[in-house]
Amino acid sequence: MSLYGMMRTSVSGMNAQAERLSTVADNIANASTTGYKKSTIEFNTHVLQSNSGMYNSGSVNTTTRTFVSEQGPLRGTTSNTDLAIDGDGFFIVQNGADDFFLTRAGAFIIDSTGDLVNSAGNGLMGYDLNTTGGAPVANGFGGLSRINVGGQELSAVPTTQAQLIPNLPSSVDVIAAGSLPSDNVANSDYHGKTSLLMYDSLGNEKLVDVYFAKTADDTWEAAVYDNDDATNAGFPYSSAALATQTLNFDPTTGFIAGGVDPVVTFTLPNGSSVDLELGGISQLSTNYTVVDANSNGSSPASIERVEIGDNGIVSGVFENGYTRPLFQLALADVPSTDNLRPEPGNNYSVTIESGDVLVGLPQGDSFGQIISGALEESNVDMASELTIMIESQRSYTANSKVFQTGSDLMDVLINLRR
Amino acid sequence: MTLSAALRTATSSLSSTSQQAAVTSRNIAGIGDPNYIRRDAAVVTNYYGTTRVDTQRVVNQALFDSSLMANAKYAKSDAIASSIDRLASFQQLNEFSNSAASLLGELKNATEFAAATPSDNTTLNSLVENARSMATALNSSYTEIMNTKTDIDSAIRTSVTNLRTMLAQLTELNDAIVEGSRFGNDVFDELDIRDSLLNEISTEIGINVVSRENNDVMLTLNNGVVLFEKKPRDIQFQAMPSYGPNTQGSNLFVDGVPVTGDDSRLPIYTGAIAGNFELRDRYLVDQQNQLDEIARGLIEAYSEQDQTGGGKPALAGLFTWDGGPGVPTSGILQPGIAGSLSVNEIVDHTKGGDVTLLRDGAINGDADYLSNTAGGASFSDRLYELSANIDKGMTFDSSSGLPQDLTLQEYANQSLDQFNALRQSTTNSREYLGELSAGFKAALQNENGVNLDYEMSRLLEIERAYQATAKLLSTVDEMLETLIASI
Repeated sequence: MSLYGMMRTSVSGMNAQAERLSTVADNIANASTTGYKKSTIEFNTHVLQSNSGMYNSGSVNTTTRTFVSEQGPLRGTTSNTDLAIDGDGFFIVQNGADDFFLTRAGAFIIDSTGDLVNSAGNGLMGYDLNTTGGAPVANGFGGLSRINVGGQELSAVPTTQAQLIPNLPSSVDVIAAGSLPSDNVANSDYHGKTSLLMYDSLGNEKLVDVYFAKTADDTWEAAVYDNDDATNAGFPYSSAALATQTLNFDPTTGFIAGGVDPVVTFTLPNGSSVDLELGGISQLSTNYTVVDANSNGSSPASIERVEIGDNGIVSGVFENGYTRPLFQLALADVPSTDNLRPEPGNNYSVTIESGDVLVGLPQGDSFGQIISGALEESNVDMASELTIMIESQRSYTANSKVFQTGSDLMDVLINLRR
Repeated sequence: MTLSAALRTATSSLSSTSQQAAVTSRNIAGIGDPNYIRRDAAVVTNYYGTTRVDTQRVVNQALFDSSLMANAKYAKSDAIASSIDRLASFQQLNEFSNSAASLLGELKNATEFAAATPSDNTTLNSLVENARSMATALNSSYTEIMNTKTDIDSAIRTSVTNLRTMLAQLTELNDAIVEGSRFGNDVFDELDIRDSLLNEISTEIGINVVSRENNDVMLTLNNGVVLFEKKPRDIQFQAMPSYGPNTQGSNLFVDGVPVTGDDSRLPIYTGAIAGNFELRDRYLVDQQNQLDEIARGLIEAYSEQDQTGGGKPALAGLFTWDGGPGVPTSGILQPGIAGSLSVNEIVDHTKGGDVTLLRDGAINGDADYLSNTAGGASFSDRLYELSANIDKGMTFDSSSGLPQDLTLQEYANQSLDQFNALRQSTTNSREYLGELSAGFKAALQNENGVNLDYEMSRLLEIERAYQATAKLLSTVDEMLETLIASI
């Protein structure tokens, strides 16, 4: 009904703009909050029944929208436990009361107990690779545990693989049977020797001597010995060769005949079985030269730091360089992300509107990848917030003018009767 | 993009430019350091328009390897040339400048002079004096060679100790580099130090560098024997406290493999250690053998024969040795004889000897050896025979490195020629390799070192970039200012 109606409408307009200014205030306040998603207000009309002769002014309704699905810009940091998700998905975190939340705020640090917690104090969740295979439980938070990198014991890694690529001098004299390296006698002769440092099961350093001797044209013998058994670091050894192998070369190319890379397999004393790969070994007319040599394994060491890969695998990097996967970080998503309910601490909780949670692994079908050493900033743009603020201010003023006009007209009406 | 994003980009750009400035200033600081390798700061685009700086240390590995090799070759030739120089200057210092060869000529002249006036004891005395200086020269040259060998052994021992120390340093440095590289830390300074350490190691012994994951290195000798792989390998050498005529110096063992000596299958070729071994086992052995052969030749030339045809063995004459009065077997090397060569006391007037026995023969008192049977004071046949012996063909031992059939004088001349040629060639190769090694170092420095012009122009670029970014910041700030002022 015209005048009263008009005044009610302008009040609803003022309320709506006040709501909108509240979101602007929140957005500006949280412009620098990691993982913050901006909120806006959508207006919709509330129309009253009118007919051709009479207009009933309605009012304006507000709906809050949170831009959870909009990716914020990533900013590089210097901490590798700062995580950002590039793409869809949320970190799963747990608060002190063991409630699960979703969040995009990935400023994690290792706390005193070894848990990875973000700035709001919530612990990051994942699958423990020591106890589970890391396969996600798709529709719930089952099987998840707090990612904890404390208390990781010393770790020694026995050598299992080694590589040696030498060139054997093709033009040397053949060494007669009886004084070959495999014969293990004091006058055992050879054309080349290379020793490699390996590690046994307890992480002890083991020097392994690899000998090469020409037994016939294009035929060589490789013999592997444990240096601990050596006499003055050479022949004779107190125990037989760990392994011997005959190598046949193609006289036209100088490489292994038949093209199958030779592998000498032996068991390191107190260690595991080692595959010594000789792929690439050549027999050319030059000196004995080592082109490349390598072996894995390491001595015991404690954890030095944590590394988190694109795929969300949290690995402990030990002082000796050995890396061991500890946890698989899990991500969660919901069908309607914008309908998640914001909670304190940059958290979101699942609502009926948002749909059921879906848990998966980073780089999976509907999940983004993890970027270590980066943080997702808020998706608030200061300039647009300020513009909205100006716009709202003007709208609010305009609404108040409408109200004032209504009030003035009422005054006029009341003053008709004097 | 939005204003906030523009601000963020500008911030990261500012931090990138300041990091680049830091790298450039480090480069400029390293300009005087020959081991400093230039760092290159490349700007890499990160997520969402931000940038980060990726610092690289660009080194030409092939050139570095060649430089190490040239360095090792130079060190070897330097070791050889210094010892040869030392021997040569020893001879000059003691006025044996022309060594055995010219002394032998003088001895021959003195013998002929004595033969011309056989009755004059003065000329015979001077023959004995000449013989004495000959013997002394050979003795001291011989002792000098033995001393040089002993010194070489101690030099090798010092090198080996040095090598062990450097390898221990390398272990620490390499571990730090590998660990740092694994964790993505800045290990460039360590890499610089390691490169200079590798350079020093190559001075002692020639090395090949095998590069592995995480900036790890493995060192092998030129023969493929491992010197360093995660840990240093065992290096064994036993220095001889002193050298006698028959002392066999011990070999160097690396990782249980003998890498020196004639029967080594995997010999080393370069580095000061290799040079010292080559000297000790080859050049000095040749010199020693030649001195022995000259000494043996002298005893043989001045020996006296059975004049009666009775076939008694030859006996020592003017010169004798610790095996006298017998004469060493002809044509067979008698190790150490140059050290024990002396003038026979029986004819040495200063030791109460009778010089006239030189003229008459039968020095050792056996009348069968008497040449001057008539007893005439002007008998000169024996002295003429002696002087002719110096120019008479003899058989020498083939192991001395010179032809077998020569006269004593020719042998002494060739020995001198060989020594001079060796000295010449080692000096030349030292000079040449020194230049080569310096050339490689200069090339390495040119390619990987710091160029001040470039760094300064880089600094200007950085300054401009910084100014532009700062301008961007202030512009965005003004824009926001405008917006806020309108509220």
